[in-house]
Amino acid sequence: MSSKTVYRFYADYAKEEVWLNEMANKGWYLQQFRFGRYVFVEGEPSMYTYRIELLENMPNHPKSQDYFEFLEEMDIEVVDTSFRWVFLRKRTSDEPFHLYSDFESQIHHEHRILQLYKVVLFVNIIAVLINLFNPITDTMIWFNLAIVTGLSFVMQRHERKIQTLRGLRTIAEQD
Amino acid sequence: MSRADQATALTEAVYYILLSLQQPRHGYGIMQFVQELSNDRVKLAAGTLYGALSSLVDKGWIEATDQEAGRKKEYIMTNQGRDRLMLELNRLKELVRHGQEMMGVEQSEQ
Repeated sequence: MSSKTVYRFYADYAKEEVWLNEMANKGWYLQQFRFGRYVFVEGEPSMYTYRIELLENMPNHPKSQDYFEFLEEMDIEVVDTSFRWVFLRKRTSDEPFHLYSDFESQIHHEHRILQLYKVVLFVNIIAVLINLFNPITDTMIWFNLAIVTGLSFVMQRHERKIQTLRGLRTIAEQD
Repeated sequence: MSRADQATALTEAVYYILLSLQQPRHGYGIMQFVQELSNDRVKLAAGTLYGALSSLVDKGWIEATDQEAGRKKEYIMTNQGRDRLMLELNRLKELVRHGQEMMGVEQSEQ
């Protein structure tokens, strides 16, 4: 069984998910993830659909463990976890695999992600300020500024996505 | 039960979950039951179903049954859940009645 390692960085989980499924369609299945490092294992094409979810708690929290058990009952496999993120997959021979079937739960999830972005943004703004007044690590400030700029952009798009979902929810519960 | 609980409409997911839990069922059982009952129209996705079950347990409308170790977790509707479901049923009847009256649809003979 051949495997390959790919290094990539995604700020938007939805794009990351699309990419993982493109890889799966070509027969490369994510097996392991460590911050920007993806390990794929080769197999028959299109066997699995991948989904990425941000959990409410850390993966080793009893509530997350309870959720994982629940997912296993549904034949959904936990591929790997990283911080509060979890990579899931399900056989494509089953029904199409989605994690959310109504706008409400989708909004809930997107909102959770936006909260995480806000924390990361805040930490980076603090880092920029510290570097401004204490320029020992003056190259770091560009790194932090880049994150702040990029993240603001992603957050704006994310905010619009949530607004759209909220608009849809005022009319119907689901598609 | 707060007033807000009585006034708001239940989501379709919650309505069908409550309907299915007149007898103990585990997650997958609920999903299958709802799908069959609705002729494949309502398909509860895993994340949505789990979220709904957790909030229903928090509200006390359903509860996890005593289970042996290693068995799948099962849920059942509480009396409070049943009361809430009956309220919803009446609300839905009212909706249908208004719709039929306003749209000039003949009521089917019962």
